[in-house]
Amino acid sequence: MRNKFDLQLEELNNDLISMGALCENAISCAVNALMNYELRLAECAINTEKEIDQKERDIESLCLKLLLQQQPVAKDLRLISAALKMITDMERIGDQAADIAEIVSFVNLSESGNNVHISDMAEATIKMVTESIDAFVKRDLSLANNVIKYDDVVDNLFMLIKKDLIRLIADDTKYGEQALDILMIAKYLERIGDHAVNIAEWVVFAITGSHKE
Amino acid sequence: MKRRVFWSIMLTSLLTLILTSVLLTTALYNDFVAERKQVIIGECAYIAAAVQKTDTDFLTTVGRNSSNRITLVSSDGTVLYDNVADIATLDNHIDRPEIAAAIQKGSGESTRLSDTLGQRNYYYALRLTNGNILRVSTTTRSVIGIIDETATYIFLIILFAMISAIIAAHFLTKAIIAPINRLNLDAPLTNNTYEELSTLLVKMDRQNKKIFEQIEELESKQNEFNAITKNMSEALVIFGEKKQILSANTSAKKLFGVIKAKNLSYLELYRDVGYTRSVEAAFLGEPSSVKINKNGRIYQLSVNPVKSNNNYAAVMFAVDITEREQNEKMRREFSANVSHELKTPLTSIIGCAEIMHNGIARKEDFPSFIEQIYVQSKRLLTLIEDIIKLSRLDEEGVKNEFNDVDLYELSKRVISELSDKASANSIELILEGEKHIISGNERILHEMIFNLCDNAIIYNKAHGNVIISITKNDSFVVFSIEDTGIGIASEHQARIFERFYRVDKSRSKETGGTGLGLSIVKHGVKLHNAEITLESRVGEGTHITIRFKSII
Repeated sequence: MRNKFDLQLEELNNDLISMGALCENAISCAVNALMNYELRLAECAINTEKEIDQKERDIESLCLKLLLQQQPVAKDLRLISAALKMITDMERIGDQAADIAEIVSFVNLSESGNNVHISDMAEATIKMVTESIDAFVKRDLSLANNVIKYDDVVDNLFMLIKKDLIRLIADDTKYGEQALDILMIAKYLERIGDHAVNIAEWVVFAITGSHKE
Repeated sequence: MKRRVFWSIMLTSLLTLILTSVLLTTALYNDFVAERKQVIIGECAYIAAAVQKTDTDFLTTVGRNSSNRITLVSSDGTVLYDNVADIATLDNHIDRPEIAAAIQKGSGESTRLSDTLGQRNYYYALRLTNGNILRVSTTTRSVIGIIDETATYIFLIILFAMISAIIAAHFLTKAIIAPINRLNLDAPLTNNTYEELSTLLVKMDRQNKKIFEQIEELESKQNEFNAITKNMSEALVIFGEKKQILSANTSAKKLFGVIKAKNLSYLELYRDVGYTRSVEAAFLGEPSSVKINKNGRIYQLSVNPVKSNNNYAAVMFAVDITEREQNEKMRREFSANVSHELKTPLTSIIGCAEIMHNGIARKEDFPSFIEQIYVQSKRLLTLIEDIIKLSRLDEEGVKNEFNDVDLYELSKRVISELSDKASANSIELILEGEKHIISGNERILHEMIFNLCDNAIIYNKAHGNVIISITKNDSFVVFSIEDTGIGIASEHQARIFERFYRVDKSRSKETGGTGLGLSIVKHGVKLHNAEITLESRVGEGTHITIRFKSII
């Protein structure tokens, strides 16, 4: 009985990692699509989002099965409840990556010529998601805490982009529509960063059993 | 062991016991019976003698006192007297064998078992002179009777034998086993125990040696495998059936940034989608290969399935192909550049020729067109010559044409060849140092120095200078060329030795040259096993040094 439980926990662990990998893939597809204006990659992000949704349902049912049949306690219970919360955040990350990919077809960053901050921000967000999943894989508390701290960098970049866009519109109103699209993308990236923080917090919870204030 | 010893002792003692008692009983019994018979015969004779002399009253007196049964039977078989039974109840005794024998022969005997099985009756009959028969009989115990009587003792003896057998078996087994337990199995032949064990020990010794050899062989194979995997730069990961990592070599751990890889799930190693798909495919029995970007380098991952009991394990091999990819990219760029560079002059030539051919051009413009055709053709030729030189440098054959070359003399020759061009650009060429001889291909060395010097003149400022020096430093001959020119920005420094690479693409027409000069220099340096270094600062000048190995 316990043996089966261990196997199921192992399966849950692997499923979470592969869902995380799918999220990373979705964002990197969306961001590459945005930076290089490649619509093929945008499609990849949208397809990956569907896979993520499927994975979320799979993990959810596995977690419920584990809770009902095995009645886990202590560390195992923490892992499972953290998993249930983490997949919600991962699913949101997938959604937002797909949203970015949808906007990409209307925005060509090279047109307005100001994409330094947005590429920095994309890079920072990808780093956050990767590290939050790494923290889960390695059960690394300090890495998780780093991710939580790193959110400030992304938030600052969001403010910078906002200022950039205000200047852009002030200089020439013809970029107005595009500026709004870029703002949306920046906001999505910022949200992805927040979800990465949530994941990191759940990792902390799974390891220590206490929630970060 | 103990049980067998016990049973052996037990059976032996039982057998001895039974045999002894049977033999002893038989012998003693027979002796006893024979004695009793003698007594009876004697008694019968006494009584007969007495009876014949006296009368039956004596018989009655004797009969009352005798422990034996005394019977007097008439010759017709009627019982006349019996001291035990009432004669009225006794039937005719004529058919009794001893009486019949006595009537006939004068005496007779017989042995019969009595009604109770444990007893045996012996009868002895004697014919008296009056024809009557006197019979004396005695009752002895039969064999069964004796056994019956001694059964308790026999049982006690067996019990005693059993207890002693158990104790004996216990100690005996212990005593036999003790030396065996003390055997030194690592060196069987050194033991000094039972002779009977020597065959076993010899065999054991042989097997020990065999096992030792096999272990040694396995260990050496394992060490060999470890040494190979540990030192190879390619990453090697072996996955077990449950998709867990069985082993990963040092390069793999470094590549994926893990400290301890054993028993990690394949997903915990790396999460790239291409990687996970490849590994998953391998577990379904499909070999696959994928390129991944990791730590800023490109790796080719090959994942191959390994069949083991209906399931699949997998072996993954990762090779750093960054250089190969870059070379591939450079080759592609080169062929694109070559075609482009060759096309440019040809287009001009064809353009000029076409204008003249169609008769659009005026006669007086012909010389300028012809001039253009001439210049472009020459440019085309130079280009093709340079390409040929480069491809020749790629061949190994030139190595055989090595001679002693004096770099100083060669540089002097180049300076004299370029003096016109230098003075046209008002640049001063200075040669320093002394004669130094190296082993090399003179034609290629000339080409190298010429190209470097030419570049130093072209990319110089007006009234600048170029200093060439030939010096010796330890076992190296150092050729150095320094100009006061425009310099090369650091982002271009790594690429200027590439074919057709131009720092300033717009100026290439103006300055002439094919973009292959420095590439030829680089290949020449490689051919001569020399080292080239470049220092440059924008606006200040460039300093290139080549260190050749001295022949002495």
